[in-house]
Amino acid sequence: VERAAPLQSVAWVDEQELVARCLEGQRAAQRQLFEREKRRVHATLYRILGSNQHLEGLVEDVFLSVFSFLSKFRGESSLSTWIDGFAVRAALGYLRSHRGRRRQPHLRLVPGRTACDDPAAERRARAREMTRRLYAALQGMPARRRTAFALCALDHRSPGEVAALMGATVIATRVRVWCARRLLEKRARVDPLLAEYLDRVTVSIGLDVGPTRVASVADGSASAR
Amino acid sequence: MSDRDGSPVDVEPFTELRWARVERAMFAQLEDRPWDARAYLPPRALIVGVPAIALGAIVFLLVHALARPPALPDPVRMATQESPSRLTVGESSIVAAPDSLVLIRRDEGRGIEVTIDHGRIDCDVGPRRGRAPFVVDAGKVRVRAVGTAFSVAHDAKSTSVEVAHGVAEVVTGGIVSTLHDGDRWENGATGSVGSPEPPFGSGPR
Repeated sequence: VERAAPLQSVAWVDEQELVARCLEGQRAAQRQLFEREKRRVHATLYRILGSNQHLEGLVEDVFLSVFSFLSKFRGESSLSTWIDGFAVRAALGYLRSHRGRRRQPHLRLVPGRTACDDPAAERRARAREMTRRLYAALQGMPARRRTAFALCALDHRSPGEVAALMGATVIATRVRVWCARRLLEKRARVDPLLAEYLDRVTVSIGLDVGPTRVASVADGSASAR
Repeated sequence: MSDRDGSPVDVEPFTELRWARVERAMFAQLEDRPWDARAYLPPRALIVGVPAIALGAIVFLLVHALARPPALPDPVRMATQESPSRLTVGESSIVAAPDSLVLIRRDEGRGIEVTIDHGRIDCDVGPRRGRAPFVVDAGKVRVRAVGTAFSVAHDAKSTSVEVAHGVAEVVTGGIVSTLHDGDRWENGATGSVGSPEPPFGSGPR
């Protein structure tokens, strides 16, 4: 009885073909791979680092690494996940080399001072300010803690996936995310805008830190979240 | 932009111009040099330096271990016939004259204990202040070095102690006699020998 070979998904076969063509040095295939993955890599880097500053160089570095190590790709994970690993390592390297160099000032949003009365524009401005405050709060954190938090909470990856990308255990990843969250909650006690933003960031890491007390600067009262 | 929908962070996309710039720069680098893993290896200094340091450490440890004197058996038995024999224990040296039998014990708490069965020894002992004691047992006579060069001779009939320099205490029958430079003690009699002959094997000091 002849057994049928295990079926591989079309995507998997396509991926393997694309990798093989890239390894043969076909520029068109390399461009195709770049085109396919560039936005994903950019978004991962952006969510870890919080701005487009220096991202051009980092994206470039990630793809240069991808092409130089492509022969090591064994297809054990998807090509995208494999490439994400390079993005995470590049972000970690960047954070380590730039730690403490750039401290964003802790700014307060002044209500009613947007350039126009368009509510949508005000919402966008508010969202941008919230994001800015989040990354300002993340600024001083150790690189691995910050990256784990960003990947779990902001990039919506599972702790297992983040652990694999960072070469860490799931427990260590959960603890890092938990520590980051605790620190942010501490900052949020005196920053209602950050507290509001943090409230949206749902992290399912299996470590419940309990309700957060968030002080409202406006009326001086405290509310449980 | 991203396949991570619902993220609380809105990714600010690159403009097409920026993407074009990234793509151009990256493929220019791929064109310029055949990219290989060597670019990602640690710097040459690390590749050469780390193993060299490790090798140096191993050599140092080996040399250090070999240079150390081998551990002495406990007790050490010195039995001489026609020629003398020298033993160094820490900073002290013991020279056994020909036709002597000596046992040396070394103990962390009790210090160095030398027992003369018969014959003669010359000891050169560093000051004992703050160090473990150095004692010589010769039959019923015990000699405790304070910090000195001295000789002890012992046979079935008599025991004698000579101090070349320094101080030694002789204990026998509960009586303690302190000997100084040039003093000689023999079978209970203490007295200066004037200019004693230099102890065997001690040489000029």
